[in-house]
Amino acid sequence: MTSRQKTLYVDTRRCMNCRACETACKLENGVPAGPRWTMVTEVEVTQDGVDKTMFLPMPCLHCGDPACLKACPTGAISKRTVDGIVLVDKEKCIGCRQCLWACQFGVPQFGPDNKMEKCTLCVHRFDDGLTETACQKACQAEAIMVGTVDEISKAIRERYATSSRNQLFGNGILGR
Amino acid sequence: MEKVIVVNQDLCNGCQLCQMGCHLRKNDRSGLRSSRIQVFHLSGSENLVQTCNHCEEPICKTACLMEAISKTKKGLTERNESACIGCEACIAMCPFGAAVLDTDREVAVSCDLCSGNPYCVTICPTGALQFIEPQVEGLSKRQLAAERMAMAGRNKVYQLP
Repeated sequence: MTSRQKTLYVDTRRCMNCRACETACKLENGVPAGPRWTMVTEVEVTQDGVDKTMFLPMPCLHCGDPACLKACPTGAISKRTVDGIVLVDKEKCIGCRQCLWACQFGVPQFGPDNKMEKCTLCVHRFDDGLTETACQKACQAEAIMVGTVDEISKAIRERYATSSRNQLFGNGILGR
Repeated sequence: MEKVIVVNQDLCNGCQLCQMGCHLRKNDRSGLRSSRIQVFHLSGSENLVQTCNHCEEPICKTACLMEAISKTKKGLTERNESACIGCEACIAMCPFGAAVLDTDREVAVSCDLCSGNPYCVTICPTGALQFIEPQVEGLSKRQLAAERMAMAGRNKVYQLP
């Protein structure tokens, strides 16, 4: 059986730092000012002697073996068995920030109530039968993809195949 | 959010200078047991530094029968030492071992951030202790992780021409 873990794929070549994902996430989840569940990070890299700026949207990665879950003293963080989404229960959270110290990616955010909140991978949308997260829907460059590893690898392969075909045959009659 | 003591556990070499310094500063004598910051030597060369996290809803506050523990407006966990009877309920309940019994005065104590200038942070020789806002630590971690991931992608992913 293949993994049912939902994950989020970001194509750094497509992201252009428009931050529509951040805005859409805030609107969808009602995030107050301050915490940012997803954040476009600017990274400067040197490739072939040329300096470039890359943009990388950084939401929660919903790890397979989350460090935040292990660090939480009250058991407020849980991982759903059905799709592997890591969720936090604000009722149980005591705001000790151990999850932030444990997380390698700086994902846990603290709002005005000083309780931990973070990306839920739009779990309510998936539960309602939708197939896209808010950030994925808002991304005009189609840089963000959400799904199981199988779905994402299939989509990347299709993208690559389309681009190779277009290079070989152009967009003319043979390319269709 | 107010500044807190952030521990970079990877940088800590386990010298316990913070623990000794805290004991000297707060109890006016050398020692380790009543220090409000505790260094634990784990298996291997791992060290773990634990101090008060100033939780939003502290379990120690719930456990205290004398209501000696309160939250300030700034978000710090404050102890009224004259009300403390030394029952050690907070010490038993704190999940981090951050509350300790001051053996000189027989009251439970925890980190009060030295009124905004923690002594342990100033004397830490490796820079493992920092006194910064939590969101600053989160931002720098995000940036570091993004740089790692970007470089990984550059090195391994096949680039389309």
